[in-house]
Amino acid sequence: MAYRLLIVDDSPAMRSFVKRVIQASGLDAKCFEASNGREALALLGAEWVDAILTDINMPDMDGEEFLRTLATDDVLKNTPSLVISTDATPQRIARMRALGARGYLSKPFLPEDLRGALERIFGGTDA
Amino acid sequence: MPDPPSPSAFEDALRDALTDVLHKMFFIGAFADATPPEAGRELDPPAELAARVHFHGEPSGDLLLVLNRQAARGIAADFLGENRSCLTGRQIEEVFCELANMICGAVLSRVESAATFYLASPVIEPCADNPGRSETAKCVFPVGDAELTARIWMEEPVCGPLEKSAC
Repeated sequence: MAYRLLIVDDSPAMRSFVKRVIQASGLDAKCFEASNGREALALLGAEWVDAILTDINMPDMDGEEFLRTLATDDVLKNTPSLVISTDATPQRIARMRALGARGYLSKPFLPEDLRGALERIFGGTDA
Repeated sequence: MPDPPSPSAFEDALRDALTDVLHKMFFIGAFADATPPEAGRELDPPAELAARVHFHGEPSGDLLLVLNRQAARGIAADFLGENRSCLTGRQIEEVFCELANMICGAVLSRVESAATFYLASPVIEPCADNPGRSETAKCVFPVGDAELTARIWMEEPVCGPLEKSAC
C-alpha cells in the first residue's frame, strides 16, 4: 500500500522537486500538497497521511506555528513530521525538534538524504 | 554581542553555499535532458533574470542572484526534471527564486550559527543593479556558457579584520 505524504512548502518548485525525488527513490507514495500551514491543516481535516514534510518560512502560517498546532491535536500529534528548511542553525533545529519534528533535513540535500530520512521515519527511528 | 561576520567570511560562505546548492539540488549535468541548450534560446528574451531575498537577523541584509534567462531555463529544467522547451516563464522564475532562497539560507547558516535568521519570500527584480551601495560579498559561478552572480549587501557595516577594532 502506498504511503500518503503531505508536502507543505510555499514554493511550487520545491514541492515539485520533493515529489520528484520521492518518486525517483522508488518509494511507493501518494503525495498531497499545501502551500502553508493553514492550507495543510485544512487538508488534514479531510485526508489521512502517514507523514508530513514541511518547510519553515511560509506566509500565513509558518512551519513553527503549524507544528505547534499539530501538537495540540489528539490525532494529528501522532503523525510524524520531517522539517525541510534552508536554516541549518543548531538552535532552529532544536526548536523544531522541541515542537515535535521527528526529523530535520537542511537544504541543500542529496536525493538519498531525503529517502534516508523518510526510511528512518517509517522505520520508527528519528531522522 | 558577538562580532559581525567579516566580508571574507561572507565571501567564503557565499562560494561554499553556491557550490553546495548547485551540486546537490540542481544536478547540473546529471539530470540534463536531451534537448540542446540552443533549443530554449528563441523562447527567452536576452535579458537577465534577477531574484532578491531579504533576510533579517544579526546582521540583516539582501542577497541578489542574477543569471541570463536562457541559463535559468536550463537549471529550472534540471531541477524540475522537465524538457526546457516545455517550461513557462513562471516556472523558471519560481525555480530561480527557490535557488536564491536556498543559497541565502545556506550562507546565513554558515555565518550566523549563533543567531536565528528569517528569510522573506524571494522576489523577481526588474533591475539587477543596486546603485549607491557596494556589496559585502560577491561570487560568480559558471553555469554552462553563462555566469551566475550572487551578491550580498548588509544593512549594517561589516568590519574587515583591519577595521574591526575601530567598529
